[in-house]
Amino acid sequence: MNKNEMLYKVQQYNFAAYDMLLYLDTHPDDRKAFRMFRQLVEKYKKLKAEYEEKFGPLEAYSAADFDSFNWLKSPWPWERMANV
Amino acid sequence: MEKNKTCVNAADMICVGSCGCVGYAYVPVQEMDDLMDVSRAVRCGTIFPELELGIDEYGKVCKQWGCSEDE
Repeated sequence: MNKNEMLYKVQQYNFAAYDMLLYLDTHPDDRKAFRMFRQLVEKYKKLKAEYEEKFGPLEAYSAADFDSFNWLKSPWPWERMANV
Repeated sequence: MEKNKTCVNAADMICVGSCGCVGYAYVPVQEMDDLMDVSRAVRCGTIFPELELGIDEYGKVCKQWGCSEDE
C-alpha cells in the first residue's frame, strides 16, 4: 500500500472504532459490542503504528517514538505534496 | 395498548412509535446486528447497516422494526 492508501485504512478503522464507542455509550453492557470495539481499536493501533513507522507521526505525541524530533517535517496535510 | 397501561420504562417497552405515551418522544433502542465492512462504513457514515438511511428512505423505510409505508 502507498502512503495515502495506508492513511485511509488508518482512518477507516479509526472511524469504525469511534462509531462502536458511541454505541457502547448507550449499551455499556453489550459484551459483543465490547469485543468488536477491542478488535477495531487493536487493528487501528496496529495500522497507525505501521503508518507512522514508514511515514512519520500522525499525532504530536507519536513524535516521541522517533530518534529525533520530526513532527515539524513536511509535508503538512494541507500542503500540495501531502495530497498527490 | 390498553388505555390504563402506563409506560413504566419506555426503554423496556419494545413497542414501535405508537406506544401511547402522549408527549413523550420515543426512540427505539438500537440492537446491534451485523456490522458493515470498515471501508464501506466510512463512506456511509456509520458502521451499522440499520442506521444507513438515505434522505429518500428517511421516514419511509424502517430497517429494523419492520414497518414501512409500502408494507
